Parts: sequence; C-alpha cells; structure tokens
Amino acid sequence: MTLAFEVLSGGTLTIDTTACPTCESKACATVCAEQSPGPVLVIGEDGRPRLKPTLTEVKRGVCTECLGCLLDCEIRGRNVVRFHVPLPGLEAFVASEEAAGRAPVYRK
Amino acid sequence: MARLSEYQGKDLLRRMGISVPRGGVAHSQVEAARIAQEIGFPVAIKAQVLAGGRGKAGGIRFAATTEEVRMGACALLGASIHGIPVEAILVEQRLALQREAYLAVTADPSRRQPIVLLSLHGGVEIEETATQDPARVFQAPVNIREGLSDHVARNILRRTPGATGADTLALAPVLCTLYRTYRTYDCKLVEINPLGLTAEGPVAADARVDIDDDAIWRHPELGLTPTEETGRAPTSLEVIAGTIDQGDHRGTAHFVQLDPDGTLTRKLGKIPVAFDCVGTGASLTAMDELVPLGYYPVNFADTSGNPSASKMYRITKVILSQPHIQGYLFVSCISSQQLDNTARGIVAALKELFPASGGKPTIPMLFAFRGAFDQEAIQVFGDHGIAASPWVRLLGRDVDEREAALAFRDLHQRWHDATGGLQ
Repeated sequence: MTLAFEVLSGGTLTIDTTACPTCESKACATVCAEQSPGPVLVIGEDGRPRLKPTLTEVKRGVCTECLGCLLDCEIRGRNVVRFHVPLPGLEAFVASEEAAGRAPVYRK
Repeated sequence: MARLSEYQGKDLLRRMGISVPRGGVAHSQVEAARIAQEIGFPVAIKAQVLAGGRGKAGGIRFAATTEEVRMGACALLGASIHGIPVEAILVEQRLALQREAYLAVTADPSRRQPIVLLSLHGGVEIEETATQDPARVFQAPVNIREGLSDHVARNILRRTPGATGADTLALAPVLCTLYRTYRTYDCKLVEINPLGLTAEGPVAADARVDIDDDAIWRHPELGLTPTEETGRAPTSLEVIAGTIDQGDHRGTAHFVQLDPDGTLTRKLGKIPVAFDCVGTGASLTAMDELVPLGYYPVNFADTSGNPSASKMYRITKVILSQPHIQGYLFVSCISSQQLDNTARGIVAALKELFPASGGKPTIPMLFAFRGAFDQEAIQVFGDHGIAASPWVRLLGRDVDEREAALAFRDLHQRWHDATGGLQ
C-alpha cells in the first residue's frame, strides 16, 4: 500500500505504508504535528499515515517540505518514506564531470 | 540572466508599442550583410554585450555599404568589450536624430515606490550627469496603485527642465508604455538611452531591460534562464541551481560560482572550499575571515528567508557537486530562520551523497547554526549520527564568523594530516 502526494516544489513524497501498522513510533506523524501550519500526516484507524488536508492543499504549500517524515521515519520508524524532487541537469552534469576526471568529492 | 541584451530589450519595447529601429541580430558577416540589405543603408552595427560604455569601447560601428557591414561585423564578432566576448551583433537602421532624450523607470528603495527618470539633455554618461548636475535628470515618483496615466505622464513632462509642449505630447505616451513594460515584466529597470527624437517621432535607439531575478519564472515567454546576474554566461551548476527557486516562494537559494574551474584559487595558492550562508552580510564576513587563513570560497551561496528543507537539500547537492572542493562551511547569521528545517535539508543531502557512511562526509565540514531553533538543528545532526564524524564540526550561537573560520582551519588541518587530503 502506498501513499503518494505532490508538494509545492514539484517533488513527490511516497510512503510505502505496508509496515506502518507495526510501527510503534509513528515518527512521521509526530514530527509533522510540530510543523506550522499543523499536521499534514495523521495516523488513521488502520495505523497507517494519511493526509489530513486535501491533495490540492498539500500541493499548494500546506506541506512545508521540512523532510521531517523522511528523516525521522528512517531512524525511528520503518524507513519507508521516500522523497523525489527534480533537480534538472545535475545528474548529467556530474556524469560529464566524472568523465572528464573532475568527479565531485562524494563520488571519489 | 535577468538583464536582457539590447536586441531582446528592443523586441520587448516594440511588442509593447514603442518604436524601435528596424533591424535584426546576426552571428556572422553573411547574416549581418543580409539584414543590412533587407533594411537598407545606412546601418548601425552594435556589439551585443551586457556592458556599459560600449560605444566608447568601439562596440558600435556605422556602415553605408555591404562591404562596410562585412568589415564592421568582422571587427566586432570575436572581439571583446570590457573583457566580454562579442558573440552577436545587432544590425539596424541608422537613425537621423534631431535630439536625444533619456527615459527610465526603476524602483527607488528609499521611497519604496517606482520612479521615472527623464532628461531632455540626452543620456550620454547619465550617471555622471545625475551626480554633477542633478537638475538635468528629473525624477518623479509614481503611485504604484494608480499607475502612470497619460495625464500624470504629461504633468511629469511639464515639470521636466527643457521639455517643450511638443516634447510633452510626443513623450507622454512613450513614458506610459515604458511604465507599463516595467510593471508587466516585473522589471528592476527599463531604460531608453537614448530615446531618439526624429522627424517621425520618438524612437528607442537603445534599450536596457533588467528583469527581477526572482520573477523570471513568471515570464517563460522571454526565454530567460533563471540564474543570478554575474556579468558572464551562467555555469551549468548555476543554471541547475536557478531552477530551485522556480515556482517556490519559500525562501531563496542563491548560488554563484566565484571560481568555477579552480584556476583563481590555484593562482592564489589557496585551498578551495564550498560555502553556504544564511544572510549575505554574514556570508561576506565569513568569506573575509576565510581568505587570510589560506582558504578560498569557490562559490557564494545565500539560503535565507526561511527556505524549506527541500530547497536546502537541493542547493546542498549543487554546492557539493563542485569538483575541486576540499571542505565545506555552512554559516548562518543570527537569524529568525527555522534552522532545524535548514539542518534537515542538509542532512538529507549528506545521507544521499555519502550513503556508505550514513551521511558522514569524506571532507571537513563545519556548520555554524546561530539563530532560531539552532540547538534543534545541531540535534538533527546528532540524531542521524553525522555529528559523530571526525570531519564534522557543529557550532552554535556563541561563535562569530572569525571563530567559525578558525575552527574550520583546525578541522581542515586535522583532516589533512590524517588523510593526506584529496588525491
């Protein structure tokens, strides 16, 4: 089962909620509740995160993209949150630099 | 770039309804000759470089025959004006000017409103004229809510020294259209210098249009690349960084490479480091402290205005993709920015870029979080194990920029001694 939603930056947050009912921390919802203007993720009766606002509201910026759910789920939850945001051209740039012997430090 | 070339600016003015000379842009002698033959002689050939004082530097030539056009194009294309290579030339009608005027619309930060600038004495070295004889350049504020209507424009012209009744009637519509251009395209400056007064009416003999960097994404029709204005062509990384603010108003991610290929750093005998700062003032101060210690920030970055963690994640990836860096500093000013979000973005980027070590970097990195939620920011690094890296140093609000730079030097020296540095 997957919860996916687009955010203002053009990125997409995807949560594989299969393991969420067994997660004790519910870290995603905990950290989200601390953010202004209030929680985007809340825990449903099935123990899985769901959106409190509508998809449109989230896309218009209600989700502040704090990445708290991504990071806290990784260390306190089941590590099932993924975030993809486009950064057009970066991969091609890094590949061309590597080919020219100028790899960035994180590829060395 | 936010500043349009002359031919782009003139095209914009023409579309808005201001007369400009007939002409076209050329990238070769053949193209230049063809345009000249189409529009008829005599013509002006103008280097398309984003630099002032172009005429005095030999960037404008006149031609009465096809051969002269070829010679003029040959001389300009490939030459450089104030260090900027000429890659395009504008070939256009040479105007028979009776008089020259200067018209501009810009923002006056002290008044917090737009102003129009006018001179009926021509616009050659207008900045000097404004300094030496301010009365020759008339300024009038515009009420942004009311805009600039024809009768207001006529009133402004009526008060402009040297303007005749005929000038008022001829220039008022141009002024109104110039203001409309300024507002429509989110400009910082729209300038016609000179506005040629000809027998056929006013004609924009030159045009300068600067679009607000942060509004470029609102005008895809202009085909501009949303990068910082540097006076040179943007680098690949600057173009990539320019997409980060696109369509997302939450904070800013400004990024400029100061030494894209590391040549200057090597020449100065310094150590290249990547850099990010919250607030431009703190950025300059921190850079000033780093350079005497033997380091050179190869980029400028300002991530302020409370950017989302998502923005921080992306700009950090861009900053760390610079190929020759041997360290990284993040320094915030004493800011109201929510620094825990800033930290989350950086940590997310580090974990992605250095997956084998769980985000622990292979080069020295110093983070000085000073301001709102600074302790929480440091805690984020602790929670994810990155603070435990021997090559990471986290500082709080009790340090100034000099102490941060000195701490980085200590860290870098320890790293260099232990690892031998980057091979």
